[in-house]
Amino acid sequence: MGPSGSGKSTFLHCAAGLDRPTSGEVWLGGTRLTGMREGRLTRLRRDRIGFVFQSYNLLPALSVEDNVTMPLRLGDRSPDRAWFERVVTRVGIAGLLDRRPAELSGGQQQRAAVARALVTRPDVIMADEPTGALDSRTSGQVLALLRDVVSDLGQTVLMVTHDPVAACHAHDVLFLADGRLVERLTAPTPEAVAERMTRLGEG
Amino acid sequence: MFAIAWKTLRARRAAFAGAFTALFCGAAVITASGILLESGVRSTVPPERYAGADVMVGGNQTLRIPGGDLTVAERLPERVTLPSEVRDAVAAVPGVRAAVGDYDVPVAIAPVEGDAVVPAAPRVTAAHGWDSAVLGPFSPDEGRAPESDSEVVLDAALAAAVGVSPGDEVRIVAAAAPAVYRVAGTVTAPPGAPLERSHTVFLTPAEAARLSGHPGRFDAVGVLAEDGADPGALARSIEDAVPEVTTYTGTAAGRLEFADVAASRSLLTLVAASFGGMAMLVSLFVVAITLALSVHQRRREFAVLRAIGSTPRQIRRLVVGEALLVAAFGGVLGCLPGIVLADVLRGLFARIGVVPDDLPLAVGPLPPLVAVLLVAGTAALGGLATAHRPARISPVEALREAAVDGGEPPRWRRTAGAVCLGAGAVAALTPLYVRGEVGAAGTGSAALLMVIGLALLGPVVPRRLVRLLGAPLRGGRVTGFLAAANSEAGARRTGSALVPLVLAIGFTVTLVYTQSTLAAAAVAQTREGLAADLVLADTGSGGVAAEVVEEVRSTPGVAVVTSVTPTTVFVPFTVFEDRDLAALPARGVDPDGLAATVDLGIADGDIAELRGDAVAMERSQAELLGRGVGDTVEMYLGDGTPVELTLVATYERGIGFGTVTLPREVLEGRTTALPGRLLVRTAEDADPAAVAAALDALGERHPTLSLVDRDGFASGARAEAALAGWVNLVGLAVILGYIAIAVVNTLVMATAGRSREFALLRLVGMSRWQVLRVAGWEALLLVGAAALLGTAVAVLPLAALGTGLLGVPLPAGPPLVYPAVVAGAALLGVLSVLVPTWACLRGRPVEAVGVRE
Repeated sequence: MGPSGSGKSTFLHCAAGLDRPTSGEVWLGGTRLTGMREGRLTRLRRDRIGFVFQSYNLLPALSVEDNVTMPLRLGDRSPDRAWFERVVTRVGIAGLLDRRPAELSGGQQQRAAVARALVTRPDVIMADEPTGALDSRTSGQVLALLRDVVSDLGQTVLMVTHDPVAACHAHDVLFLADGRLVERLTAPTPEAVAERMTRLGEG
Repeated sequence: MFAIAWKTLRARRAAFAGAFTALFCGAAVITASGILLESGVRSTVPPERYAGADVMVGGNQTLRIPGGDLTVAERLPERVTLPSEVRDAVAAVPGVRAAVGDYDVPVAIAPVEGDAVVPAAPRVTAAHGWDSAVLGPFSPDEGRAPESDSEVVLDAALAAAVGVSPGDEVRIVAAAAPAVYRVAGTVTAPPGAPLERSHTVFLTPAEAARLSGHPGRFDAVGVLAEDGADPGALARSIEDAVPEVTTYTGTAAGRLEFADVAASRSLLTLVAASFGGMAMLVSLFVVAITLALSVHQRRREFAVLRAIGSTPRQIRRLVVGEALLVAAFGGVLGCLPGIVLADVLRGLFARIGVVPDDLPLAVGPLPPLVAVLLVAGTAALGGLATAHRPARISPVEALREAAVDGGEPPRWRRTAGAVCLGAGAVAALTPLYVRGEVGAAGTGSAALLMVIGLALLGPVVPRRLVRLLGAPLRGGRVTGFLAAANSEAGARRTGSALVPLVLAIGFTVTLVYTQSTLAAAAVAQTREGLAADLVLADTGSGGVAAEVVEEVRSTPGVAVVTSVTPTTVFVPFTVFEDRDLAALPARGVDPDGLAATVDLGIADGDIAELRGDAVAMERSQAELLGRGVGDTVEMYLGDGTPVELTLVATYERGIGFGTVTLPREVLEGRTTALPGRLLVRTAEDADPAAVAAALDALGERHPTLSLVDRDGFASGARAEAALAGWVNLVGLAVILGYIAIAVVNTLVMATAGRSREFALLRLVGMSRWQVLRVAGWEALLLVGAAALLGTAVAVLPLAALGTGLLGVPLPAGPPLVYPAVVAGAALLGVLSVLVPTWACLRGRPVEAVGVRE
């Protein structure tokens, strides 16, 4: 978490290998991302990181099923049918697989995006303001889904948000200000998070 | 990746419609030029007079040179004759029952009193020896065979046309010299060959040989096979036994029989090769820019793919895969209209009169196959080039950039663009060094190269230009201001839409004025260089014999007569170690008193020395060959005879009078070509009117000769130049039509891709009419920029052409063509923007905004 311009998205993009820092190094587990060639970096990202964007970013020409299995196709892996079924059922889009993204609501599109991030069994899912474009009820559902993914499927999720309510779905909250990690809060409550945020905003 | 490409394609047919159109039309144009080329090689009409021959034998009409590779081959325009030994050698081949030597003498026919008869339908009349009647076979109708040299047999239709029957007398004009013959009989047409293309008169073999001007050398040898012999096998064994001949069987014999078929085959090959090359370049270019636009419009999609883990390689494969799929559909479907297009072109050429009406197209599987492969190759290459950008950028950059339209083109593109512009400028200057048709052929390529250069430079030039042109709009009210801002911000889109318009304007203006400048130069040079007072020309009897020339010369009051024999010579040259042949228009002339009838505009040397084995050459051509006065030039005459001539002079007026001038004696005894025109200079002290009257009277005795004065000759030259121009323009019209389609295509694509933007404008409170006005202003900015750039592209090639050919840096031609081309392109451009804009505005804006790209 952090105020606007604190570097949340940049941090996430660098951590995911989507962007390259101007100085310093990025390590993902035991792998050094800095200086890696584009092709290898892309493959690593595809296999080990799932990414959920604020604006869903589904491919409009493809069905939901094709969208979800796209990372597998890109990796030339055959989909693990059982895992795929489990993911789409868990995410709640099992009945929508034949539709095109344009035929889905925003919440459904974001669920499909989450399924796409999960389908490769990544080490970590990174989510950049995943509820930023959704109303509060739908965001509640998507956040609950992300939380359940952690509990049920044992999936690590790293999420950037500026919404204290969204932050409370996490185990740990890290605060950024001016591009630096400044605080850490375990088992957060909305009030505690909001209070820190106000303080950072003033500072 | 192919499966994904297929799915994307099926889901977004509309998005690929543009690329499909470009590839479809490209395949059609390439197929059409391929079919014309193939027809030039293979097409024929069924033989008539040779219908009964099992195998026809002719000289080898293809000129090849030692050291030249397979592509270095020229079709000889003049008949290669066969000595009688060849006939004897053919007769000795096993399986040959009889070998008949045939003389084919073009003649005109006339009643004893009055003008020559030009029968309405078949315009060609030829005289042959009676011994060749078996090749039809012609069967006697009335009367008998010619028994003395003053007897003739006509085909029945011709006898009816002239109004004679056996026992009557008739005049036959060969080489402008008439002679009276008695009709001995008539013959009916060979079975199955209704003599639709030609009329035939039969003389005794000796008389036919005499009239041919080359007794002892046959024009063709007809073979009758022994019973049961296979003509194909026999033809092969004849070629094996007598290597210097070419054999024809079945309908192919029509190529040997009809000179016009042979000539138009050469023309088709030539036109198809030049038009095909240009069409190919243009379609490759159009396909590439259309693909680039379609990839650009889907940049957000590619950014998403990059973000969820596509490697650059996969993006490239996706783009190329899509392009190949579209190319497969477009290419295969485009072949069918290509066949229709080829037929339309053939019809137009027939209408102009350069191709016989009845010459069919040869439609084989090769042209469509080549077209599909070429289109697919282009699509793959174009896809690869355009995929470079979405494939290389980092995903976040991609997502960020997707929202705005911008970014500078990579350095390689700017370098390549500058190189293309430079190459175009160099090509544009060719006419300064190579004057004549060859130099003029470079202007179109120069314009094309410069447009390609502009396209490679990308949005750099359009952005500046649009900013400049849009400046007055920016101060204006809402719509003008928005239009200026949009055009400038969307410089990449503006650039993509601009290029086809620039091509349309620049290319059309360049090509049309190139033709008119060439024609003007030909007319001007003819007018300035003709020192003769009167010109006699032969029509229909194959030329003017030497004794007729002497007769004109001895007419009282005539000072000098120069006979002019039009022909073609082939000069070998070496480029980059490769041997090649240049076909140059040439004239054989009488050297005596040449300066009194023709002023060639001597640059160096002395034209009076044009005697014996000598040659004069247009200055820039001689320089190009690296020869100066006194050097030896080796060349091949119109029938392939090799000669070595000494260059005695160079001259300036090569367009009006031919690039090469030979003394008549070089041709005499070597080729069968006869003078077609006599240039007459009257004596100083003679009364011009009296001389003209005397020559007119001579024309009465020689019914195929017609007399024109200088103005008549100049207008004849103008008509010839105009004909050559039309031949070129027919091919170019197809290319220009294709470019027009490309203009509409890219503009519609670019505009339709903005439906969301237009809906947004409506949502913030603009009326439909106002949005339409914004689009209209943008279209006008675009068209204005295109007009400026198109003109800029045409200026250099045309200025160089004018300087080279006319001596002033201005093209010649109808001045209204330029504004008409610009106005036409402007109208096309504005409509192609406004109509799709209107279509976008029809729906409710909220829905349009809701549709994600």
